[in-house]
Amino acid sequence: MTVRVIDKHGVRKLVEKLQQEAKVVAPHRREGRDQWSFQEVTDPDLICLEYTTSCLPPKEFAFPPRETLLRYQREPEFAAEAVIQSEPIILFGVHPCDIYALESLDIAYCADHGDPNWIARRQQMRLVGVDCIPDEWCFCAAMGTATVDSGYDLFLNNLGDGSYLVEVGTEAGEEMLEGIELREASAEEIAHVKKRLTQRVKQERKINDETRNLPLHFSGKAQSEVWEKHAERCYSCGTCVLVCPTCYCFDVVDEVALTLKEGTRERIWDGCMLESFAEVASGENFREERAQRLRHRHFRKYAYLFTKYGRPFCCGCGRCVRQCLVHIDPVAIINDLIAESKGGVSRGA
Amino acid sequence: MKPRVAVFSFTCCEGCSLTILECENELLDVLNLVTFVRWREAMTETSDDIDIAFVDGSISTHDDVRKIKQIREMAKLVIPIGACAYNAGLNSLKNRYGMAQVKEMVYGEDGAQFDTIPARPVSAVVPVDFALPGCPIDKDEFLRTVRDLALGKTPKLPDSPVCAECKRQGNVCVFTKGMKCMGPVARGGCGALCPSFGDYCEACRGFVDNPNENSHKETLAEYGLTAAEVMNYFSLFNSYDKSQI
Repeated sequence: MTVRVIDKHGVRKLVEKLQQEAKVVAPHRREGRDQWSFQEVTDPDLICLEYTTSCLPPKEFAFPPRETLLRYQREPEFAAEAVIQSEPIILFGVHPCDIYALESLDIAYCADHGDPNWIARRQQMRLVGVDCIPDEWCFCAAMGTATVDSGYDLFLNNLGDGSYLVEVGTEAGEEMLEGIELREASAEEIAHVKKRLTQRVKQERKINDETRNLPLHFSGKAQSEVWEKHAERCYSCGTCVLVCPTCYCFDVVDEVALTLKEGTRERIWDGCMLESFAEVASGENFREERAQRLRHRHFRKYAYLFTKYGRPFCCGCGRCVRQCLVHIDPVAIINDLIAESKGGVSRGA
Repeated sequence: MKPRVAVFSFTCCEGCSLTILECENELLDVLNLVTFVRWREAMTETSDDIDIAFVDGSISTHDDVRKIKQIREMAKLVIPIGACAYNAGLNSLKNRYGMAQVKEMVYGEDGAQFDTIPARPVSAVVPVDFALPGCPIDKDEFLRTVRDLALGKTPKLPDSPVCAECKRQGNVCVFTKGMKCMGPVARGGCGALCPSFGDYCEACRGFVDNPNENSHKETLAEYGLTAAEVMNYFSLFNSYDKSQI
């Protein structure tokens, strides 16, 4: 198959065409230094495809921060009805790390029992990927997520002049391109993209061992001093878990209406770094200390779920360390653990 | 029998009482759950037969001390509402000065005639059963509390910080806009109201149960604040210190 190129005009046409079919969300610039978020497209000119990372990952469109799971009435007799709100949606401009993360959540939300709300939204979701601009915090290469070969319908590789080399991932992706003017890519253009992707995989922020060995370095490290060291300035504010594209924990609360006649059951983003997360009804808290919570989060990402699902539950996007006010860094933590395994001193991240 | 509710005000702007009055779309439902029997901002009737006393304002005169003790005797539940009643809020800023100096600063020579004592939260004078923080209180939190009490449930304050709520709101961190914020240590429950509307958090709901205050002092200093400015951020709503009483 020939490799094709879509130019700036074609990208605009593509977005306009997709807007006829579904709600389209794409990265937009926000107020603040280097801040972007996925927002519904109103004017294709406002889309910003060249961005480092979005504040919240695109998981919010399949797993919103707050959603109703159930509506119920208490009178005249109790009745309840499950609520699944979903609509056709196209995520336009998703980075490889975030595509990897969505696939990870597909695994987590379908492995033991299917989560109907997640599944309904993912079934109505189409995805156009775009290659990324790394910044000083991301470490996708260390997680093996600098490039992906599945999880998208279309993928756009930037050629630098507003045009993109187009990869088609699915039949739905091919349909998206119908009626859009494309041209054949030159050998130079293909080489240009290949070269950039090769460089991407050699990113600077590295862990000092192979990714597949990560769970080994967590083995026997529950009492390591690493946790106290890195938790010293931790706020337990929950930012790292709430902005994490592979975190999927939630709290469930019943909200009875003031009339006391009806109510809803809501699920809200929650996470293991928040102090009340491991508190049980008797008031006991299984992870009272910040260091215990930090340890748990990292064991989940690089040991428990890695072992369970055979892949790190971290996509290396770096949102956690970037948005952490004190920049608690998983790469530094992992390298400290690796150094401990090797009986040496860490060279840091 | 519906619980009989009273609202009392001490040293404050009575904005928290007003917040209850402003629950215009919900007041009729609230009246199905409780009966208001005493509330100077809203009604002329009065009563000493009270189940739940909501109290806004700090205790800052000898007369306040006497009255809040009376209220404690009368009511089955005493629930401070708003920063002034919850942790003495802004009022406690005066506690770092001498009381004679405070009177002089505000009223000049005429100040001598007024009775004032260091401001304290309601809980420093009488035992309380629950408390709603905030300047002013969050309307929805008040309504949930009334509902929970009517259902016989124990109401609970959220313990996660404002940072967590900013993330759930999809807000951009105000530090990236050049502002300084108390969000990492401030008790949430307001839905990150101020950062959601372009401002920063001043921790009007007090701090979470275990704030990492030292870390935040360092962070604010790293973002360019002087030691005195850091203390101003910390003390605006949270300067009440028992040792000053």
